[in-house]
Amino acid sequence: MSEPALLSVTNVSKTFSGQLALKDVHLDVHAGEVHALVGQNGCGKSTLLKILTGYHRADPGARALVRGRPHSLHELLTVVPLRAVHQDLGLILELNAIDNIGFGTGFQRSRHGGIAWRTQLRRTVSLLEQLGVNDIDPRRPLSAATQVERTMVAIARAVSTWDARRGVLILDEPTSSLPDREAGELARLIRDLAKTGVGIIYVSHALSEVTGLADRATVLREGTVVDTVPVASSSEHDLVELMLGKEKLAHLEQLEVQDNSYAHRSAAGPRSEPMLAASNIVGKELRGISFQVSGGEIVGFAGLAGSGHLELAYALGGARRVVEGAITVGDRSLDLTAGRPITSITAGIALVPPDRTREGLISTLSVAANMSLPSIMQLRGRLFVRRRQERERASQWMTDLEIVPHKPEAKIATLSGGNRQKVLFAKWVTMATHALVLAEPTVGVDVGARLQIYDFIRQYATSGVAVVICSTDITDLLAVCDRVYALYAGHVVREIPRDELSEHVVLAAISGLATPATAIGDSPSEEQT
Amino acid sequence: MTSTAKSDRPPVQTSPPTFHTPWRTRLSVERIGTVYLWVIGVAVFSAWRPHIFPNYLTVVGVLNSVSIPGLLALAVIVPLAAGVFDLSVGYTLGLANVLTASLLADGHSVLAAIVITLAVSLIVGVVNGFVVVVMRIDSFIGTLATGSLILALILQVSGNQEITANVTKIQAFAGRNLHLITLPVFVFFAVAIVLWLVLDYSVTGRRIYATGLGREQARLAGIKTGKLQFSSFLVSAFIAGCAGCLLTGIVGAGSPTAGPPYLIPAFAAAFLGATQLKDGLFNSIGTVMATLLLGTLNVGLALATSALWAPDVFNGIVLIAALGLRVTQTSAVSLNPLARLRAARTVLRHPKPPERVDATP
Repeated sequence: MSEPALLSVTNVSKTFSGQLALKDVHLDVHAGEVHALVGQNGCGKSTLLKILTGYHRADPGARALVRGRPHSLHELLTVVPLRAVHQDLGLILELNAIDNIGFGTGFQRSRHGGIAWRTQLRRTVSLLEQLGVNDIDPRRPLSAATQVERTMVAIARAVSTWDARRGVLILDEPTSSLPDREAGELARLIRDLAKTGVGIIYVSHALSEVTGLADRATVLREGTVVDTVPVASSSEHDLVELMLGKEKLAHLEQLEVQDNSYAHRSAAGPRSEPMLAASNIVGKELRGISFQVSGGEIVGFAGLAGSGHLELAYALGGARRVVEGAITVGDRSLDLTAGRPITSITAGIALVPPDRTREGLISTLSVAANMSLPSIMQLRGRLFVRRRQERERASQWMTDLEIVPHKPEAKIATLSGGNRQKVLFAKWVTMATHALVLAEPTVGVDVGARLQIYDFIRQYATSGVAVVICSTDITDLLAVCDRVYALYAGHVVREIPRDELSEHVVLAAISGLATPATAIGDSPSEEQT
Repeated sequence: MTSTAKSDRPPVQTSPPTFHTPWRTRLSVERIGTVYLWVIGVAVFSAWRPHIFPNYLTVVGVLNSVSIPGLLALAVIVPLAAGVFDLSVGYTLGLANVLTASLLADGHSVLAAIVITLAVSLIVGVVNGFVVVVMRIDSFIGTLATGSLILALILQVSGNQEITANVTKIQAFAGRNLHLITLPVFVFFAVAIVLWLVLDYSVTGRRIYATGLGREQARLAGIKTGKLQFSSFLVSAFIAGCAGCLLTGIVGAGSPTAGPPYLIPAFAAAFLGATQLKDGLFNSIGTVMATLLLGTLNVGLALATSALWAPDVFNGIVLIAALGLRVTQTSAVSLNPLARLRAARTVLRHPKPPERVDATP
C-alpha cells in the first residue's frame, strides 16, 4: 500500500521482572483494515494491547509511526487516536445508552447548567446510526439490550470522541460471549465500521471468525511475531500452524489420532457397570433428565443457553438446588435437592465450574493454594497443612499440564486464561474419584491449550472415571465425547452415539429440530455461517 | 473411594524445584515496614526524651498498654479473614467489662464472674452470627446494629455508673506479673500464637482465608462458608470477652464508656497488620507487629508531649495510611516510592537509552 500505515509500531519489547514477555514485536494497521491479532494464551497479545493503550510502558527502544510520522508510544491514545473495547465492555448495564456514551464523551449542558437530555439523545441516536445500529432504544437500560447491541454501544462510546479524523479501534475478544448468529451480525457491523476508514485491531480466539472477517492477521508466539499474513490466502489450518509451530501441531495431531482410536475402542468395547446414573432430575430449567455414564466413558450434554445443560452441571456438583435429583454414584445413592457441594465432593464427583473467575479460582491466592482447596484434607498432617508436599504436588501438576510460569507460589491473577483453566483442572481432578463434571471447559481458551485440555480429558477418562461435559461449544463435544445427549428446553431430545456425531446432528437437536440427521442437511449450518 | 484416578500420573520428579523467598523480599519495606517505622520511632523518642524513654519501664509500659487493644485487634482479624466485619467488638469488650465488675460487686467469685462473662460474650457472638449468616444482613450494618443492642445492655447492667465494689480480687488476678509484665500481656501473646498457627498453618485457616477471598469459590470447594463465618463471630466475641474481663482487672472498675473507644485502634492495627508479611491478608503476626508499633509510638507521644489529642490523631492517620497501603499492594502499579525508585533505576541501567522522538510535526 502506498499510503503510510495509520499506525505502525516496531521493536516493542517488554520485560516483567527479568522475564521477557514481548521481543521486538512489530504491528502495522492501515486505515480501513481489520487486522487480526492471534496467538495462544500467554503469547503476549494482552501485553501488547496493554502497551498500545498505555497501561504498560514498553522497554526503551520501541518506536511508533502514526500516518508516517514518529511519535512516542505512550501518546497513541491521543495522537492516533486509539481506543480499545475490552471483552467485558465496561458498560453500566443498569443505565441506558445515553448515559453510557455520555460517560465517555461528557454530557452536553443546557443553559441552566443541567444536562441537555434532548441534545444528548439526538447525539446518541446519530452516533449509533452511523455505526449501523438503528433499532435500539437509547432510553432503555442496557440490561434489556442484546449482547451485540451492548457491544455496539461500547464501540460507539469508544469512537464518540473522534471527530473527522478516524483512528484505530482495538476490539478484544468481542464475540467470546456471543452465540454464532449474533457473532455474524457483529462481524458485519465491524466490517462496515472499517470501511469508514477506521483501522481495527481484532483479537479473537475463534479462528473461524478471523478468517471470515479480517484482512490480515499478525500471529504471535511466545512473545514474538511469527508472521503477518493476508487472511484471504491462508486457511485456518495455516494459522493454527503459525500459532503453535509446526512440531507442536504435528505432535498434537498425532495425539488426536491416537485418542480417537481410543474413543472408538471404548465405545465399541464392553461396558462396565454405570458409574454415574441419574433418574429424573428436575430443576429450574431441567424438566426431568435421566442418563447413565459408565466408568471411562466421556458423555457430553449439548444445549443452547437456557436449555438446562449448565444447571445439570451445577446440580451434579451440588452447587445449586434442584427440585428433584436422585443419582447413584458407584454404589452410593445421593440426593441433590439440598444443593450442598460437599455431598457431591464426598461421593467423588468433582465439578469444574464454567466461570473461572467467580466460581473457580481465587485470584488473590497462589496457584498451590487454589489447587489444594478442595483436597486440603489429603494434605493434612497431624495438626497442620503439609506445605512442602502441597508445593511439590502443585509443581508436579504444573509440569504435567505445562502451566507457565512454573511457580506454585504465583498468584492466579498473574496467569493467562488457558493456564488458569489448567489450574482449575488440577484443582478438581484430584477429587474426581468417580465422576468429573466439566462445564464449558474451553471458554476463552486458545487452540493450543484447548487441544491439551481435550487430550487431558481423554487420558483422565482411561483411569475409569465417568466424565460428563456440559458445553455450548459443539467442538468440545465432537472432540472428546463417546456419546452426546442433546438438551432442548430442559429435556433430552436425542441421544447421539459416537458414530453419528456431527456438528449438524447436534445443532439440529439442540435447536429443537426433531427431524432425523439426514433430513436437515443444510438448514442450521447456513444460519450459523 | 477408588484411587485409580491417579494411576496414570507420571512418577514424582527426581529433583523438585526449591522454593525460597529471597532475603531481599523478606526484609523489604512492603513486607515488614512496621519494623523499620518502629526502629525510627524508638530512635526519635530516645533522642527527644533520652532520660525517660529508653529504659525497661518504658518497655513494660508499652507491653502492658497494648494488651487490651492488641487482643481486640486479634479479635477482629478472624472475622475479617473470613470476609466479614465485626464492628460490635468494642461494645462486647465494654459489656464484658461492666458484667464482670457487676458480678463481682454482687459477691460472685472471680472464676464465676469470668466464666459467666465469657458465656455471655459467646451469646453475643451467636447473635452476630445469626444476624449476618442466617439472616444474611451485611456484616457492616448488622454488627453495627447488634453493637447498639449491646450498648443498651451495658447501660442496663451498669446503671450508667462505674462499678468499683469488690474488684480488688480481679485486680490482683490481672496484676500478676513477671518482671512487671502483667498477665494480660501473656494472654495477648498466647492468643496471637494460637491464631498464627490456626490461620497460617491449619486446614481451618486455609478455609477461612478462602471464604474471605472468594466465598463462592470456597463454597463450591465444599467449604461450609456460613459455618466458618458464624464461628468467626464466636471467636471475635470470645476474645473481646476475655479482653473485657482483663480490662476490669487492669482498671479496677466496670465503666459503661470503657469499651467502644477501643474499636478504632483495633481496626487500625488489624488493617496495618494486613499490610505486613502476607501481602494484604489479615494475619496474626502482622497484627502483633502493628499493635506494638502503635503502642510504642503512643507511649512515646505520651511521654514526650502532654497533648491529649495526639493519640487519637495518630490512630486515625495510621488507619488511613494502612488502608492506603493496602490499596497500593493490590493495584498493578506500585505507588510505593521505593518501588518506583527501583523501577527508575532499572530503566536507567538499561544499555539502550530511550530514544527521543519528536512529536511535533
